[in-house]
Amino acid sequence: MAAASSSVDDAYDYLFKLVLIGDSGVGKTNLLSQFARSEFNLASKATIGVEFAWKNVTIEGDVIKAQIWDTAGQERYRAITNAYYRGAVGALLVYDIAKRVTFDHVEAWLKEVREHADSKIVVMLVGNKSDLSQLRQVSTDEAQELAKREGLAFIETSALTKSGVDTTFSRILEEIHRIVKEQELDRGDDDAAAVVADGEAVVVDDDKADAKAPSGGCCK
Amino acid sequence: MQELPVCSKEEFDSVLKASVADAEERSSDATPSGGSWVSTLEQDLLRTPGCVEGTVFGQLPGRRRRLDLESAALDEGAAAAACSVGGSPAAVSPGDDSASSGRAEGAERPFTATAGTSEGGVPSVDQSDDDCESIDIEAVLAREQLEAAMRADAGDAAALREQGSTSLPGAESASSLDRSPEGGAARAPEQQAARLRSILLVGAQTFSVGYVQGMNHLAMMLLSTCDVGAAPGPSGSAAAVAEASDDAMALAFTLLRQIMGGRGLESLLAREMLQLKALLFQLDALVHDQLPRLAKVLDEADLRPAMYAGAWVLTLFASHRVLPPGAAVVVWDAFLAGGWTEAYRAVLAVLGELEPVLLAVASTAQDGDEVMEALLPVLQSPRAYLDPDSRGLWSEGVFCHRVLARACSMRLRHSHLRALASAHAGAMAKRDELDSLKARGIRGAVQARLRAARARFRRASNAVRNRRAAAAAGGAGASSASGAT
Repeated sequence: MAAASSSVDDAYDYLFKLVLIGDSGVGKTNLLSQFARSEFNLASKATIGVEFAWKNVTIEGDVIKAQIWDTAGQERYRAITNAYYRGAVGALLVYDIAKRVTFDHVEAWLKEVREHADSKIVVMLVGNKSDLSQLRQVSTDEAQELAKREGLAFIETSALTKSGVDTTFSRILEEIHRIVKEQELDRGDDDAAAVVADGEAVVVDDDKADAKAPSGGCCK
Repeated sequence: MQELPVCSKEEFDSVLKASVADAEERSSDATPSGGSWVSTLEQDLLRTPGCVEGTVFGQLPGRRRRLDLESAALDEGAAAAACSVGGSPAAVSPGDDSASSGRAEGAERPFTATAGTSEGGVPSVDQSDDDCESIDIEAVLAREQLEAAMRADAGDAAALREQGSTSLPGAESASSLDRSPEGGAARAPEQQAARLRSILLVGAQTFSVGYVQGMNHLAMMLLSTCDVGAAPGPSGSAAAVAEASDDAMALAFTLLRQIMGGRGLESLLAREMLQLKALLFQLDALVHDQLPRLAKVLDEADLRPAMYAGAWVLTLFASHRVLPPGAAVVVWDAFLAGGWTEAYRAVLAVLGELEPVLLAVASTAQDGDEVMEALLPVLQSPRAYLDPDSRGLWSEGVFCHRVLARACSMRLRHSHLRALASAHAGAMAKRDELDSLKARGIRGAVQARLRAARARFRRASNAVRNRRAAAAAGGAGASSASGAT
């Protein structure tokens, strides 16, 4: 049981919750296991429900704990997986560059995220399996265009070779970190930083800021 | 239990033909939703234990969860040796001792019912180790029980528990459950994948929910179990082998249909999985009843059964992550004969046996998040943390025996389960009401509350008035009576 108890870890400055979404078989679970454990499993089983991993990353001197929820891709499982979007500050929307249909579903997934997650969630479009370049069915330009249109960050990765995997996670975490820092600056108080330093989940959402503002007008 | 008829070979074949045609049509369907389940099914075949050689590439050596490539090569060798003798577990040679003595023991075990050792049965690899499905005495027993269960009177859970306990391995052998499947690989992985595809295609055609991920594990479990009974002797001809293979497929499908339809797994998956959510609610309540200390820790970490037990239930432990197949078949016997109560027993028994570890791990964590991070991986893949070789505390074999023994002796009352089900229905109704309040907005909610409060007040004041009137009438009656005297 050593592996389980070794996970007790040092302090962190921020806790960010991310979700991995996208069609079944695009490689979400392997992206996560490469990032969290440097593992790749060719015969990785289909995720039923959710899986979970976490990792600490340092950004601009702040230790960030990324809690990542990996969700089942099959449509029927959305009934239970969309509960995990709540409280997520970032989403990696993954498709398979060698499988057109997984890219065609990106818009449907976006709709799903926007319905169930906080409105300010940072979404990043991830074209996985870039090692299969000879089987490519979705061009980089096309994906970039979609990302631009929808206001998403975009990257191509290969969970197999690990190319782009760390960049993917650090880019989305940096973006969230930037937004959170800006929010703190806007608010201009140190309380917020103190609160999250205690390990509270950060929600990139104006509601929270409003609730904390002294002039919050809920009673009028 | 609604008992569904046995699916004959001919029936299976004819549905299969239609299913294959349908699947082909769907794959060529260019619309986004058209081919999606077919491709999902195809993908899953290649990643179902039993159909695949697991390959893990890792940069951090030495952890249990990682596959040692050298021993993987040995695995392949052993599997090839087993496959080459064709079909019959009894024909498996003990293997090459010089290559791997542990493996040789494992290969022998299938036909020594009371093998006393627990060493060497399981290779030091995790989930990927199950590439050649196993065949052993346990599985033979299980298969007989599956068939018996099919014939047996459905609701008779008591008989089932007897069956369950007779197959409880503690009585016979300490090693029969923690054995690994490498002993008797009857078929090459790709052959097994083709047979699994047939069953799943027919299933997708038959079940209202179509193909849902997790069914691959169910079907593989049934297929490998049915293969045992259907295999001809070592001298069987190619034709006999082929026929036995078809028999096994039709029987496996019959049982799959029984689980999906007769036992209602299908209804868990249907309609936004509402029934699954109800079942998980019941489980949550049962954990609180039976394992209060664990429940407290899980609550603090906000760990819900949906995060781990959902997958246990939907695969009935066939995913090889919680119990090895040898132990899972015992749960299946119980489930087929006794229904969902038996599945609850198994879930609670696994949790009960994991409790000491989970509590110990949780006590070292500093806050709820850390508890969740530490416990969830254990809950999702307990086998990754169990020791397959030793006889010690965390020996997989010991764990399985304790789980099954606990499940057999556990008391669960149907009336209690029914009460939980109606409690869930009540909670859902309340939530819907709250949701509709929210939908109407704060103003609407306040108005609704006011209306409710006024109605309550009206009822209360009516009641008071009625009581007063009654008292006055009573008083008047009494006074008139006294006046009459």
